Amino acid sequence: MSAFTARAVAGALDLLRELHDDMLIIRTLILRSLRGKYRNNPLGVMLEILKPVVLCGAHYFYFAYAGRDVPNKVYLLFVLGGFGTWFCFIAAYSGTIEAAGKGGGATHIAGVTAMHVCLAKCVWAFLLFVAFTYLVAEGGHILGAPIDAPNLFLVCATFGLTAGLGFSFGLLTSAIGTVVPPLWPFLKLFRWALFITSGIYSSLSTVSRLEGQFISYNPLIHLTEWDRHAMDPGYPVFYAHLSYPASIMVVLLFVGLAAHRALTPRGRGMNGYYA
Amino acid sequence: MLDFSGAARRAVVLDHVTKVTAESEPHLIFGSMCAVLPVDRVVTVLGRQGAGKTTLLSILAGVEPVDGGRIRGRVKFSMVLNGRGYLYPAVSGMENAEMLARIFAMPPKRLVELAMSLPGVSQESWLEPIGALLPRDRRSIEILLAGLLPFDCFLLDDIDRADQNILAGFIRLITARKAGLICTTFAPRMARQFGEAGAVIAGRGLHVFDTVKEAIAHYG
Repeated sequence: MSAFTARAVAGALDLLRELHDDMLIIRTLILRSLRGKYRNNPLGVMLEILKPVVLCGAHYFYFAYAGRDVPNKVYLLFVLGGFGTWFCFIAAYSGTIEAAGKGGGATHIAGVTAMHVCLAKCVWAFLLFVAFTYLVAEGGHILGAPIDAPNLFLVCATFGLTAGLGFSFGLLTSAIGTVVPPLWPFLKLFRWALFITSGIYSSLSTVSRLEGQFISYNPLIHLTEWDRHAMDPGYPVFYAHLSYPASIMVVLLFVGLAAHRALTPRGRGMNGYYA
Repeated sequence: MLDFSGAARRAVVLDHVTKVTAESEPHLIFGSMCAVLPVDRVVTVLGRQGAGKTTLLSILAGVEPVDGGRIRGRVKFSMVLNGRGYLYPAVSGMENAEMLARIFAMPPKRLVELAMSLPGVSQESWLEPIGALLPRDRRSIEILLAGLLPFDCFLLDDIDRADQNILAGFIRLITARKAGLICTTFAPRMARQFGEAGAVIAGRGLHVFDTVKEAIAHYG
């Protein structure tokens, strides 16, 4: 083996080792946060699932009994898709803003950075809402709702993109808020605008053309529609495209990471050593 | 020209380091400071209040960046142990130990057993949430737990506020593993009791001495 190859192999092994260490740190941060939040609570981590279930239940009755116009009239999936996507996004988004801003006490531990904390919030948001989707769909199936098992690949893809979108929006929002603090109230208003047009209360297939043209700029509504399609293959997704939120996520990720790097004071390297 | 080929077997080099405080009225703490700080023994850093002792440790820990110059050396520093830090207050010392073991890829049960077997902290204190403990017990757990983690050199702020027995036990623990300790104090008595080498922060710089006696003489 030549010296060049040996160096390349050693470099690749180092990278894999660092990735493995990062995954361990992220996993530990998730457990740390859950243990701290629910230490004295008899319901424990189940509360993380119960809270969105209760909200979905309330909205299910609203949609079903208020007779809202919903494609295929499967109200449970409509509500589940809308709220699952929104909760996943907001968990990743809020968690990233909080962690990118202050990092939390975990960043006092040598080797743990604010980015680890952000990613831990986003990974947990992804895992929680994939589990939430399957649990509620299974629960609905047991109670007699016309629901089959959700498409695992599509569920993971939509929630992965949703958590990624929350992460990238969060990084950019945190950076903007740090550089221009008076903009924070407007950033909060922007969050409300994202909520209203996220597809929780409407579908791209049933709104008017004018409204559809306007709300389709929100990447979340595309994810919401595809999440519903993942649970019901008959749910129409003619007007929703996963490529749009994916592109937005990539661009915002690039910009957000660059802004975070520019704003974060850099001390020692990730491996704990100085150069 | 500064000679960095000093007698220390392992050391970190502060190469023209400048640091300005990030306060409402910024002022210079370190101005183009050059020093070779040994990291393989117990070094007590003496300095008056506000001289920059905590800032020096924060810089070494990587928590605060330098405003000029650089730090050179392949040394894994611990977090700054100052009673304000790295333990998660919502869970117990034992649970914190488990989490730290996972972060540092150590066997969790083994670390917990080792930590709880160290003298100076009662078993009950290890099982209480950190936030519910008295500051003294919290600091003791912080110091003892850190001593079991795989760092090359530990950073301990204000050793005057730490329990002397805990401190002695901690130093025995880390010196057995050939790790170093950089600790700060304003009291020469503490430096004499625990230090092997000394340093003094004065005149916006750091002056390193081979013995604590020389450091105290310089400190005045």
